[in-house]
Amino acid sequence: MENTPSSVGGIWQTLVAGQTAAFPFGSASTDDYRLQPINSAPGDAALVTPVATAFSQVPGFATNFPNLVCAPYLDYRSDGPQCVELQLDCIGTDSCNFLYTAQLDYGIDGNTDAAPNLVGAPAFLVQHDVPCLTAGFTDNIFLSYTGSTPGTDPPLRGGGTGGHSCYVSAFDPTAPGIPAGTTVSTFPGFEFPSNTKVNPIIAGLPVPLLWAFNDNSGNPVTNLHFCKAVNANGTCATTGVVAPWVHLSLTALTSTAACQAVATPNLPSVFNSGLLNLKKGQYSFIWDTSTKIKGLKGCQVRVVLQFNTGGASAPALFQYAL
Amino acid sequence: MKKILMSATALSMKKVAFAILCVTLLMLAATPGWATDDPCNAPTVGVPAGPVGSNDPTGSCGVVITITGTITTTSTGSSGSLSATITGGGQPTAYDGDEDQLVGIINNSNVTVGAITLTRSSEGGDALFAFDGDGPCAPAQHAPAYSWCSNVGFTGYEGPTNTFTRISSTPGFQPARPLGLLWKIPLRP
Repeated sequence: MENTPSSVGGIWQTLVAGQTAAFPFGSASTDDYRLQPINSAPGDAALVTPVATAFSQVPGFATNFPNLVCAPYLDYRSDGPQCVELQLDCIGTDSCNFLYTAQLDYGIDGNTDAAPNLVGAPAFLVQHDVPCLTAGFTDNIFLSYTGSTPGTDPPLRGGGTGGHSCYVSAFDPTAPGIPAGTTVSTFPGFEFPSNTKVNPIIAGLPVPLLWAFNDNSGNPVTNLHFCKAVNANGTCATTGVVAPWVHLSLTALTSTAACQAVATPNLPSVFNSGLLNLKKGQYSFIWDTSTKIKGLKGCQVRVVLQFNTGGASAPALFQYAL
Repeated sequence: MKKILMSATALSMKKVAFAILCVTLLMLAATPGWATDDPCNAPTVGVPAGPVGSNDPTGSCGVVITITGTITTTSTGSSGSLSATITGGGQPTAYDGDEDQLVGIINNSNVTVGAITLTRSSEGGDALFAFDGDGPCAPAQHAPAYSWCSNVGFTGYEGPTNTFTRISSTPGFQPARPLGLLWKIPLRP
């Protein structure tokens, strides 16, 4: 180098697709941000920087979410309750445009000037391509939250795409609190097939996908619509589709040419309508796996569900058996 | 109940030192041994030995950055932190007798490090990333060129396994926030 460095300003962790990278922060042993990329490129690396900001019991810290307040962290308390926004910085050959799931852990400040009641209608807000602090959060990538008492760790989970982002945990102070130990999920994963095992598929044989979809309080959403195609900015490209909507795509995890070729931005359905509304918040999509691509044996893929909120999830792993 | 997915590799406590970066002016001539080898292959502080044309028997670096720390993940959260110390540097270890430095990095933490942000608070002499053509890939400094010198986009100051990105003199967010970033360094614990 042309001179002697005086300091190391940041140590970036390598990201590996399918593995969780933990970024502890704060003084407590509960605070961390965990990032699990699903389809990141080799060599991607990330750095998480917490930025504290004053908590207010009056909603309005996020312009696009006027009913929410940010969640105060107990270990960041200093002359009053403090929230924490997390700045995720990323570098990589894929410009960090990968799909990921994220989990945020922290201890809530339960003092009377902070959040003395249980958290209700939790949110996991994000704005991409900006530094923290920001008031312009655009998406709520919330997927699940487990209720907890003040001072203990409430795991907040979300999922989305992109890598240069500012995140914050938030909630609606007027919503009913979620009891300790109770988990609410918008999309907990598939009810079928398995979210934990490798699901074999045979090209040509349809694969039924079944799931439930709820709001941030855990109530069934009965009017989920199907978006056949999405724009690059995450909006629905299908005319006439209104929120709430879901879009399905297929991402390949195996690097073979055949496997990469079978990936598709719009997952084909056996039915023209695509999404089947089974009522009471239950939905199904019959994946048409027919393809002319040869040599798919061993190819691993994930079905990606992208929601109008900006959240995304790819809970199940599939592998072509033939 | 949270489900934690943590790789066994990431949790490994194995500590392996890697010398991964050597960006510097090298001496005057070359030998076959220097044509492809990383001269900063043993990250201890010292002036790189031997004239160009002979292999460096010590593998010394003018500056050594040592990353330490342990990140522990449990069902309720993660704790720990990573830190780095810089040893060596200045005129005593400059390979040119002035300020240019050969830099090595040791990762003694339990996580894989993909990049580090380097800064220099007071710019006495040349700025940290003010590359002025006297890096190891400059023909006048080393011939024949190292095998990695032909990599597309290289500045001529890289080592065999690293590159630079986001070089800036102004603090700020992406892409300018880091004052220089070493990237693609396979620093496994």
